[in-house]
Order: sequence, then C-alpha cells, then structure tokens
Amino acid sequence: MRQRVPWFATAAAVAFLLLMPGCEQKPSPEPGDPTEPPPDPSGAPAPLYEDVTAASGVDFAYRNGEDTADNLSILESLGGGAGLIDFDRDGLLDIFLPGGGGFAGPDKKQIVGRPCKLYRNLGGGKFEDATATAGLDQLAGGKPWFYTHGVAVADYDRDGWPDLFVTGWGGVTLFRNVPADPADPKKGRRFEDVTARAGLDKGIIWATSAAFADLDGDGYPDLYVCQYVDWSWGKNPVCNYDTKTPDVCPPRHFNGLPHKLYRNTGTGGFADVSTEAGLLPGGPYQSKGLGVLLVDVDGDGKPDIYVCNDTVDKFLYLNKSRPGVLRVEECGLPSGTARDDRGAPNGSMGVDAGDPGRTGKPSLWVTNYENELHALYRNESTPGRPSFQFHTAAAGIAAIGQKYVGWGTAFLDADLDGWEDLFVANGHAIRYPTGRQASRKQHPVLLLNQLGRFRDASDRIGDYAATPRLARGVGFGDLDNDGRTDLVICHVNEPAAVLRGVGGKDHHWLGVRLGGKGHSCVVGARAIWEAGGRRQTRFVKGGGSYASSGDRRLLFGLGRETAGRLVVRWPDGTEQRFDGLAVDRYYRITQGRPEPEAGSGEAK
Amino acid sequence: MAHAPSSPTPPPTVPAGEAGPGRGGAGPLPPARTGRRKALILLALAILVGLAAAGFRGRNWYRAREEWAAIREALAGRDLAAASTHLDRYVGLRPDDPAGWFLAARTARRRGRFAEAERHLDRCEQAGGVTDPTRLERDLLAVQQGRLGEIDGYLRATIGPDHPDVRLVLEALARGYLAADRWAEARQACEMWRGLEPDHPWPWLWSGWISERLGQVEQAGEFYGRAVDLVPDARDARVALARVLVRRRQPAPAADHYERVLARAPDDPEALFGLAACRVDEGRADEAVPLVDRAQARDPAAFAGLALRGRVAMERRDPAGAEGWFRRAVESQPGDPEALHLLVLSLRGQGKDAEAAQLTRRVEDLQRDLRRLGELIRTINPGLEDAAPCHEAGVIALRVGRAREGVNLLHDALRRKGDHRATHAALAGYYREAGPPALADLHQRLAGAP
Repeated sequence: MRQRVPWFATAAAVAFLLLMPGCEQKPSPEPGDPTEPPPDPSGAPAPLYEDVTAASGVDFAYRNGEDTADNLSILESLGGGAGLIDFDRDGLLDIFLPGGGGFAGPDKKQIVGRPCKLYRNLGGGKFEDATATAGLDQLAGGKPWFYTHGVAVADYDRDGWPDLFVTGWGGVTLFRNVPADPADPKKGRRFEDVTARAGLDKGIIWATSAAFADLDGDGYPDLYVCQYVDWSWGKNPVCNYDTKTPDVCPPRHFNGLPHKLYRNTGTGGFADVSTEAGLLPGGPYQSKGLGVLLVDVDGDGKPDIYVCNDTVDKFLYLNKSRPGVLRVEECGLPSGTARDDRGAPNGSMGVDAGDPGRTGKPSLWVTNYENELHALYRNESTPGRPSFQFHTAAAGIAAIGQKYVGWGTAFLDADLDGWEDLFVANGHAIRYPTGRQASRKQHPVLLLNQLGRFRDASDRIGDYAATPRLARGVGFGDLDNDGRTDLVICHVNEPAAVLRGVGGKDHHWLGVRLGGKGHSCVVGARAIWEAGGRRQTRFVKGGGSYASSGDRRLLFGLGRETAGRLVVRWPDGTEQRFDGLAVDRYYRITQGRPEPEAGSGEAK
Repeated sequence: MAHAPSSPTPPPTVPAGEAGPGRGGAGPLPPARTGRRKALILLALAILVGLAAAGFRGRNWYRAREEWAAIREALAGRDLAAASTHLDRYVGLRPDDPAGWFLAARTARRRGRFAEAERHLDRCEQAGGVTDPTRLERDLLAVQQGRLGEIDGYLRATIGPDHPDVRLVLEALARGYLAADRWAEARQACEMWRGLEPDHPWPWLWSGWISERLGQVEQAGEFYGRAVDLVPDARDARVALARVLVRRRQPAPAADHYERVLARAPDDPEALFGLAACRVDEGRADEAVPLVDRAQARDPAAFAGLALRGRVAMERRDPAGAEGWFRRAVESQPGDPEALHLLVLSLRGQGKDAEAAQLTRRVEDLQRDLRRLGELIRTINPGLEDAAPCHEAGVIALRVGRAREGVNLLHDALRRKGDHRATHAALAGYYREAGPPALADLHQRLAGAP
C-alpha cells in the first residue's frame, strides 16, 4: 500500500534542499534548531549584546595624540587593541588596554607614551583598576611607557602563568607574570618588565600586532611581531583627499618595515631569527603589517603564520620548522590568500580563522579598508599544499557592501546555534574622510551565519551600535564564563566599551581550555564537537583580531543539543576523544590526561 | 557664434503680365468678348497657381519654423539625437539656409559624427561663405577628434569666459583632451565648464571619467552622482555610477541603478552585464546567468560576459568549467589583470599549480606595469617641461595592450620634446607592428637609429 508522505516532511525536505549550500563538504543542517530567536514583544529581534561599560568600572580611553598636537601623522591612525588575560588565574579574564600616546616638546614632535591600564575582573560584571598593583604603571627602571598599540598574551616561560607582550612605536615590552611576593602566594601577581633580559629591546621600529605560537615544536611559544612602515618626522608628507584639506597620509607613501620572528630559546630569551627563518624583507610594495594570526592552515599540526598587510600582499608563511630551527615559506600568492578576488592587494587590518561552513578546515577572514570586500578565504588545503578560494560573495558577505574601514574582528557564535558568526569593529583611518556618506566614526557590523551563509544582523548588536565609533582592536572572550563571547572594544580617544553577550538564551554550549603537557603551547591544536552526524571544529590560535589578544578557550554553541563527543587533535597528531560531557560548562583538557576537569580557568 | 536662423522668406509672387494677351497666336483674331473672357480665365488660373505656390511656400515656411523651434527645444534639453532629426528635416526644407547647415554640422560634431559634421560645414560655407563662426567650428571639429596641434592653445588664449561660445569650446576641448588621453587638461576644461554651467550634467559625467581613469574612484562616484542628480534619466551617468559602485563593493545600490537603466532599455548590454556582476557579488550567481545570456545574445564574445560566466562557474565550485571562460576572456583582453587572476584561481582550484604560478608572475608583471602607468598618468601635467614621463607611460601602455593610449602618450611626449629619440624609437616599433610602414620609417629616422 502506498504510504502518504506528511506535508511537513515534504516541506522540510524542500527547505533542506533549498538551504543546503552546494559545497563538496556539505555543512549539515540543523533540523528543528531555530537560527532566529523569538522576537521580543516590540516585534524587533532580541539584541545579542548588552553594553555594560558603565557598570563595569572600565573607564579608559586610548589616546592617539591628536588632542596634544595637530600633526596628522600616520602614527595617529592605528589606534590600539585590547588584551584579555586571566593574570591571577582566578578563572575570570582580566582586561589589559594599551594607552597610546601623544606629542610633547616645543614643536610637538616628541612622541610620548601614555600608561596602559589593567582591570582585574572581580566577577559579577565588575572590574577594578589593578595597573599599579600589578606593576604596569611604568616600565623597567621606572622608564615611562612608550606610544603603544597592541597586546599579545602567552605563557612564554611555561610556568603556568600568562605573560604579557605590548607593542608600539619605537619598541615592545615583555612582561613576565610573577608573584607579587614570592614568599606569599596570597598576595597575588604582578608583572615584571623582562624585555631586555629576553633580548627584545632592540631592532623594533614600529610594532603593531604580535602573536605567540610554538612554531618549532619545542613546546615554547615563539613570537611573531608585525611592523608597519618607516614613518618618522623626516618622512612625514602632507596629504589630502579632497585636494585641499590636510590629512593623514596613506601607507603607500612609506616603505614597509620588515617583520620580526623570534625563536623562544626556552631559557627566558628570544632570538631574532627573522632572516634565517625566511621572512620577507620590507619595501615600498611589501610588508606594512597590521594583523597576524597563527593557526594550522594545512592540517599538519604545525601553526602557520598569516599576516595582514596594509595595501600590499598579505603573507601566508607555511611552517616548515623542526625543533630548534625555525623555517617558514611564504606562499600567500600561490595559496590564494594574498589578494582579493580581483587580484588586488587590500588595506588589511583584522584577521581570524574559523569554520563557518563546517568543513573541518580553518577558513581565513580578513577585515579590509572601505570599498574593498572583507575577505573570507575558504580553505581547500591539504597537508603541505595550502590552497584557498575567495568565498566572500558566495557566503553572502559581499551583498552588504563595504562602506566601512574594518579593524578588530573574530568568528564567534553570538546566538549559540552552532554556526560561527562574525563581528567587525569599524572606524576610519583618516581624519577627514571624503565622499557623500563618509564619516570618521562608524557603526560595528555583525554577520549572522545561517547554514554557512551570512546576513547582516548589525541591528542586533544592541544599543552600543546606535552610536558610531572610532573603533580599532577588539578583545573577544567570555568575561563572565556564561558561554557567550563578550567584547572589549578599544576606541580612539573615547573610552573602551564592554559588551556582554546575551544571545542564544535557549541554546546550550560547551567550553574547553586545551593545555599542553608541562604548559607547552598548543596553538595548532583543534577540537571537534560531533553530535547527530554533525561536526563543529574550533582551532587553537595565536594572535587574531587587530592588535589584540582574546580568550584562548574554545566555545561551541550547541543549539538544543545536549550530548555529543568531543575530539581533540593535538599539534603532534595525537587524538583524544571525550564522551558524556555535560553541557553549559567549561572543561580543562590537558594533553595525555584521560579525564577532562570541569572549570573555566587554567590548570594549576 | 552660431548663425541665427534667417527668417523664412515670403513666397515669390507670379510676375504680372507674364501670360498677357497678344503674344503671337497664328489663328484668326477672336472677337473682343471672347478675348476678355479668355484673359479673365487666364488671370484666374494665374491667381490660383500663385495662391497654390504661395500656400506651398507658406506651408514650408511654417514647417521650417516648427522644426527650428523643435531644434532649439532639443538642444536646450541636450537631446542631440532629437536635434539632429529635426535639423535633417530643416535643411531638407531650407537647403539654402547656412544657419541650418551650421547647426547641423555643430550638432553632428557634438554627437561625435565627424564626417557628417564636415559635410554639413561644407554645405554651410557653400551657402553662406567662410565666416568666423565656421572657422571656429572647423577648429572645434579638429580639437574634438583629438587633433589638437596648436589649436587648443589658440582657443584657450582667444576664447575668454565672456565669449558666447565658451561653453561649446570647453566641451570640445574636454572631449579632445579625453580623446588624446591628456587627463590633466581635460580635467581643467571640465572644471572651467562646470564653473560656467554647473547644472549641465556632461562636465560632471566627464569629470567622473577622468577621475576613474586616474584611479580616483571615490571622486568619480561623486561626479557621476551629481550628473545623475541633474538628469535622473541620463543613461551614461547612471551606468557609470553603477560601475563605480560595483568597483567600490556596493552591489545593492549598483543593482538599483542598473535596474533603472534596464527599465528604459531592457537590452542595454552594459547594464545587463553590470547587473549580472552585482548578482554574483551578492552571492546570487544563478540569477546572473539569464542576464548574461540576454547580453551575450548580441555579443557572445564580449569580455564581460566571458569573465562573468567564469565567475559563476567558480561560485558553483566548478574551476574546470571556469577555466575555459577565463581563458577566452584573457584572450579577448590580455591586459586585464583581473581576468588573468581569475584564470589563476581556476587553475589553482584544479591543482594546476605550475601553470598557475607561471600566470601569477604575468599577473604581477601586469599589475606592476599598471601601477606605474597610474602613477605616471597622475603626475603628468599640462606643462611642456618633461617628455620622459609621457614616454615611459606610453611605452607601458603599449606593453599592456592599450595601443591608442600608448600612441597618444608618445605623441604627448613629442609635443613636449619633438626630438625625444626614445619616443621616436617607441613609435617606430609600434608602427612597424601595426602599420603604416611609412610612419615606422619616419620615426626610425627621427630616432636616429639604423
């Protein structure tokens, strides 16, 4: 007897076929898993973020110096980032904010720094200023701060405590996380400026973003530092964009500076191996680095280096290192990641990697200048052969247009539906943008991922997005350990903002912190959540966003799933599987340990 | 100044007594009454013929006056095509009126129909002699075709802002400089014209072209937007604005503009290709296909269509299918780095890494050339001080397949320094390939090389 097919089954099948993207590695749909939250009583979709800055106690503004002089130097255009670091290992991410700088002296040509700020997370959405108690109000020997931009976080000495690295004009600083009183652990932690001791006190002209990862497989995180351009007061031309109004000059007026790669010696120091490792030199059409991400792109377990350069080709350095010997091979052009779909280099700033199409491979995401598409490079690599296709248009991202200048960015699952979304902070690089719709301050953008295809959901960012900002770096991390990614957004000349993620209230989540044996660095590892035949993959990364350092824990939005298997693939190729994990909580997973530990913080 | 149309002349009267009696008949003389009747009949006939002729002339007089009014209206509305239609009718009605031929010549020139303009100007001078206005029109005819010689300098020196034809002179100069790839001077002419006639859309449109060519895409968009604001139905300005929006990665507003153009001209190929490109950018590649089909029905080998089909195939993850389209696109326009880059992507998508690497080097060479060409073009100024930048730009333009621009730039170099040997050598090389051989020989001699 012929069976009748229920109408809803037919409709579901049709919807399935219509919505399924035509890709080789087909992402799995989520039947019965709504991607749209129920509308609020006013009819508008519920916001996914809540601006909690005022109540948080975070009240600090990065300054670029335009309040001290009208120099219109390119130095003023970069702004700063935000670093999230659980420096006291209380399980709550603290916030580090670079202070920027200004201009002093009779001719206002003396570049001076402003102190940075550390806010300790007290829980309950409250933060307190811990700068002085942590020893961050000045540098070694009482030296004042330099003009700062970026921050990177890693446990460079593998003592189990996260350390801090700060970049800027004229130098960098490495702060080691040490006990405030070695005799009394209860007195907390402080930072000690070990830059000179670590060998990082020379060779830097203008450092922007930086990132740590163990590139040579010795367990110690090595360090990549982007440098920008060879600007100085002697090379400070006047530019304009409307034939009359003086403004900041674009990077094409300057030569790119060579970037730096430092090998962690494992004895508290770093050796500059930039040249012998194979980094490209600077020049008029090369380098000009602004963003960096360390992630394994070709699946060999070794973290590779992806660098965003401003108006010139991006670099993809494939990692060919072996223990103790750092070697990289630049393959940006042949891999398809150096330029956009028109074969043009872009003004690239922010960067991240994620798996928005659920292919199991990290796609690369880059935020670019206005009138250039942000780039989503779909990963089609095999071990040793990195290969990407420009996927921005096909993913629906080009459809929204590109009127803004994009900076800090990340993949994040804002609604916990299991599909990675994208956030972009915007703000113009020049002082007086031209054009009918141009404005210096700009609105942020949120792109929600629906089965691998993005749509503009900026109206769901919440009240924060109503006001245009001059935003730069963003620190992405779960400040309150509720499974939702919160945002710390650095603005230029106005206080940073703290946005609390409040999306996906009826959805579940799972968080994991991966740790190596003996606190070894595990950038290059990946974690895979398998449930109902569907897989989500998250990657352990170094760097990312812009001039910022985010939460290194991995978060999975689970929708309505409550059971599944977690697979962890370590950089050395070994794999561990975990079944029966309870959801809506964090786990600490240490390589080789059979059981995960519940908890949000670093294993002690 | 243009000839004012002469007033249509009144119809000529029939000469009195032309058909008078007593003009030698051979028969016997009629009786006097019969003779009077005949005379009366003849007189009545003469009057009737005269009235008919006057009516005919009068009808033509009125038709010519109507056509003249229509010409004026069309020119005021900047509808040169309609003005031409009415002018054709007018000179048909008034073939001896030099003013009609003059305006017909001027309108044909402004429409870019130079041979027609030349013919009309000849007829004008046959009817009314050589005058200052016809001399000026001949100058403008030469200038607008890019045959600038010394004429542009003369015009700039002699036609002041109060001259009644200053706007037409600036229009012709702007077009001439555009045709000769003398961008800085074209920009100056457009700026002056915009200042005199800010509500005219053309100087805004052409300023947009100039900005676009100089790589100032944002400014180009501003100019095009102004032209569209002034004349919302202006097809060229709207298509140009849409094109810039596509370049500036704003497919949604660009698509709106293309759709407006297509609403009036459903088969406009540029708008069809443009809308298709928007659809690909919006991630709606499938919707691009029927648009490309429509546009390619007229021109199957159009570069834009080939490249778009390749892009659609890439979006469908069919790099092998895309490769064929991109190869044809590259064959069609070897100097387009974007098509070459897309071919590289399609090769890479199939694992054809060796050829992809080889073509990547070509892309890089091409981009380096185009970047340098852009730098040079932006720095070339109207002054005559240095031939070297024009020479270098011309050589690059020829190398990347922009022959017309290359030759123009080389001639600009010679305008600055007539004995610039390297430029003569470059032109000799070009003419040796493209002909005529006599020019190749001439430049070879001037280059001083064997």
